[in-house]
Amino acid sequence: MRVLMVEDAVDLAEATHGQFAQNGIACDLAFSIADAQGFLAVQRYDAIVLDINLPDGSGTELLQKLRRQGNMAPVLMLTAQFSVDDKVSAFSLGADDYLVKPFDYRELEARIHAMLRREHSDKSGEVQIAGLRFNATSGSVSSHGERLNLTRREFALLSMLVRHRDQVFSKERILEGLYSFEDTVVGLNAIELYVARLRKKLIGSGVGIKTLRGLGYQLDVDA
Amino acid sequence: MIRPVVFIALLILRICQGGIANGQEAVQVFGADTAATVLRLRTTTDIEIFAPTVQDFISLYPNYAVRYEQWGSNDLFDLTANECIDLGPQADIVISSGVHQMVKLVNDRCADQWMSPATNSISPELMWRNEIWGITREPAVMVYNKRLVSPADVPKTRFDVLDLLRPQGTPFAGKIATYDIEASGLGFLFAFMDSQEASTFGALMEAFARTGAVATCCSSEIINGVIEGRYLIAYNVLGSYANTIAKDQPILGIVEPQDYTLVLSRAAILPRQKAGPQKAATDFLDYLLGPRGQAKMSANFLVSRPQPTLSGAGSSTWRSIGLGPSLLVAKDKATVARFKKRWKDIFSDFTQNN
Amino acid sequence: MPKLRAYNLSLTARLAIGLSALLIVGGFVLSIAAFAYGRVAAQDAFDRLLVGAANTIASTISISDGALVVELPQSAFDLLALAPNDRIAYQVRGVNGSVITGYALADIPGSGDFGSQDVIFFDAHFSGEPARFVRTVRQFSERQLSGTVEVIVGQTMLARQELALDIARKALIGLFIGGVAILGITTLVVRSALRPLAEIATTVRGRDPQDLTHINQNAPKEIAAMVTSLNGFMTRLEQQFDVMRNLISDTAHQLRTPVAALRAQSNFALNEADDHKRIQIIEKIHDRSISLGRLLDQMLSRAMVIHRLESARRETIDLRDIALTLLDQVDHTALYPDQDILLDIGDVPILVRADTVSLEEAAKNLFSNALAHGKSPITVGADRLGAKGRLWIKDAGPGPTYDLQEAIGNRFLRSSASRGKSSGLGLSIAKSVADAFGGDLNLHRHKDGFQIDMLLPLIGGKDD
Repeated sequence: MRVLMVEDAVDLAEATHGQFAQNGIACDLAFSIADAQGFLAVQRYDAIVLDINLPDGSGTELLQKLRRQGNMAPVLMLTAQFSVDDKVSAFSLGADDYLVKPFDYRELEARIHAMLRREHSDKSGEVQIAGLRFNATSGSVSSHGERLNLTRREFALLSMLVRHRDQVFSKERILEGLYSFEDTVVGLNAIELYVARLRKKLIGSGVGIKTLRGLGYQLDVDA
Repeated sequence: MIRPVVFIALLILRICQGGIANGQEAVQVFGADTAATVLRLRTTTDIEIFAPTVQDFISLYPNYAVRYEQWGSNDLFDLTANECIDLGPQADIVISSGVHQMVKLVNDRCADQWMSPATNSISPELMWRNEIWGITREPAVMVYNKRLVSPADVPKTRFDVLDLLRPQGTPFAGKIATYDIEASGLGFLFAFMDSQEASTFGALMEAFARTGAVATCCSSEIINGVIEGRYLIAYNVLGSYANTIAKDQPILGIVEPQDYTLVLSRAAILPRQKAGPQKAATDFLDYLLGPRGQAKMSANFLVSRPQPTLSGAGSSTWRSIGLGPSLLVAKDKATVARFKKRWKDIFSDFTQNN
Repeated sequence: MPKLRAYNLSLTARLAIGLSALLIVGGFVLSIAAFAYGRVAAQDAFDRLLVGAANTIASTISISDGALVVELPQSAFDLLALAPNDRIAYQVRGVNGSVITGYALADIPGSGDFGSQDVIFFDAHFSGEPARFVRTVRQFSERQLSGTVEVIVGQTMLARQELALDIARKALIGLFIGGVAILGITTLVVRSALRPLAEIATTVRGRDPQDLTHINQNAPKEIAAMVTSLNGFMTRLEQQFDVMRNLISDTAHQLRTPVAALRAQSNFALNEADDHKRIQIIEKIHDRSISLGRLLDQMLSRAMVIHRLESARRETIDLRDIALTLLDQVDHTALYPDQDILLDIGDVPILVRADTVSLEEAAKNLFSNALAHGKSPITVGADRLGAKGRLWIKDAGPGPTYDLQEAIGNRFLRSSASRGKSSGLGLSIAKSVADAFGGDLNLHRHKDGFQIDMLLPLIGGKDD
């Protein structure tokens, strides 16, 4: 695996580079946008770690340029900004994930692997329902091509409903499904809230969740 | 090129006497043959009296010629009123002593407006609607034969005339002349204005009738009668004529009645034309109303000033016949008929009695 | 920018424009009224002349030998001549409607066209010009002749129009003078009314930037309101300044200490020859840097919350949602794999009015404290407590060792910062948020653990 890290904080970059090396990941370091473009011109990367504030411009500009040029390599953005809007804007600019500084190296590596998993996931495992594209292996969901930002529990809930589209899930069964891979006990009452949140995020995708009074929930596809 | 031919033809007609149709009394053209514009003037004023003024005008404006038509006042009114109907007047300016007739023409919308410094300078009572202007000042006077009337008998006022006629067998019986109001438009106007002006009028008529006064036509006829001694006194004679004749006939005495003197201002109008007033006509009007025209007419007794009087009452006895809508009364069919009937009744009553 | 220009317009100019518009519109309306009034007044005045003239004429009509005799009185025409430039039309009609004397007047109504009224005005044309007419009658009942004789007198309307215009013109001149006077007086009044504003502006401009004391200036009532809000604004500004000053001094204190520790440890590590010991030191440095990151998070979080509490919009929030979000957002499995976490919520929404982001930050701080220092299992819950909604976080541990009341009251605990712990700052954030939304923060120890309650007034709930 070959990663390009674009980061102007030399010590942070070198420390990260060192740890990548210890874990068998080849990493090129670029300290500016110009450097990065030089690397990208001659080398194909499996993933790019991109800082937002760079000495010769903004990382988001580089990202947009890459996407325009058709380079679809997964990009993880690093940000030192502190705002709730960062997540939204990073995604809307075409980043695949983001991480706020300071971060833990383990977290960084885990995110990169996750991105690659999504990238290389079996496309045949994808399910398309109306405007919704659901990929269980990569853990990604998109509505009309735009990635939806779901929490793990929301994703698990949707996954259950999608997998057994025709079935009606009682709250108990959903709770069981969520509990099975979680150490957190959320209780039956949380199911209702999760369903409500998921419904809100699914608006416009052509897919909804209908409530069958006394029975439970079922995936609902617009005609 | 037609003009001289017409002029000669008209002259011939004039010489032939009575050949001129429809009450037109005389025609004369003033000015150079080469003049660019011919001003068509129709007036009741005798050519001899007005000619010096017209000639002065032409000397001032050599590019104008004036075709001067002299008319009787009633005919002039009828002609102008008829021509008014289709706005095709054959005259550019009409000047008439029948001022009530001219006022009627203005009221009938037969006149064009004109405004200039000259028209603005004249007294408001001698102007109406900027369509009619009084251009002369001619008092109605009494004339007498100086040889036959002793200075003590010369009447100064209408009351003096009444006093002369009062005694039985007065020598003035049958010797006083005035206009026949049916024959003379001007005579009617003076009589009518007298009737409006003063209560003495009734008594005067009664006295005239009683003593067999003569009502006859025309200023010159009356004045010549006085000079020749057929009449001793003539009442309500136009001062301009009297003065003109008195220049050569010192026997003619002239008195402005000092109770009041009617003053006639001949009225000028510009007959309404589709194209508006002619420049020659307005120039002539402005000339007449201006100081030069007034001075010229003054020399010809057309513009007079009040005679100095011993009492010094002076001009206050002058009563202008104002040019305004009030004169319409003198042109009202019923009113005129009534007035003339009364006049005739008085005269016929007494002529029958005598 | 052009939009801004409209707002920059001075009040005097605005009033002037407004008043001018009013005066123009009003003037326009009044002009129409003046013209209408002038017309009516002139009509009235000259109608009287017409009637007078007609009556005078009628009175002179007599009967002689069984026939009507008309002798027009000059006085009637003298009366009409008061309209100096108007042409006069008249007509006298006999009992059979035939014209006895006067104009033919083709355009006017016939005898039968008038009603029962004796005096009737009407408009018609007189030889191509509009004219006003009156028709009066005189009744005769003599042996020889009986019936109604009509007198019709008309006059063109030049004098009427001139009089109407004259009346209107005079009215308009008055109006214009009045308008100018109003504008002038208004300008003076506005100037004098706005003088206090200019004085306040001068006072504020002349001030030292640090001087946020109140403006003590006598001002009219309307402007006093502005002065009051200006003073209120200065008070808030000063409070913000205080907050900033505190933030800066806190930040300085809280950051210097851990950085100093890092420096000391790393120096120590550089000089340590024993590899085993050096690794121990590096582990300490690593721990310290993690806690420094958390400290930084909290300080920024606090700054953001303080900023938002001033400005953010209040919205309706289900506290159960906040609890759920806590579990979803805090990725505890990676950092604290040993902690068991429970969610305890009911099936009824717990609705409060607050700002979501601030509330989530506050809850996250409390939850992070519990994760970092509490003992498993950790329970997050939301329920009702009287008229309050309660968001609570409980763990099985004994809670912090320091005095709780002191911890809540103070901005932070310096000692905690020195130890690399920052639970105090989190508490402080939660306290600020609870206060801002009319709530409270309670900490209590049970025999089976330690619990923090964040209490907020329920929507529709009764006050205590």
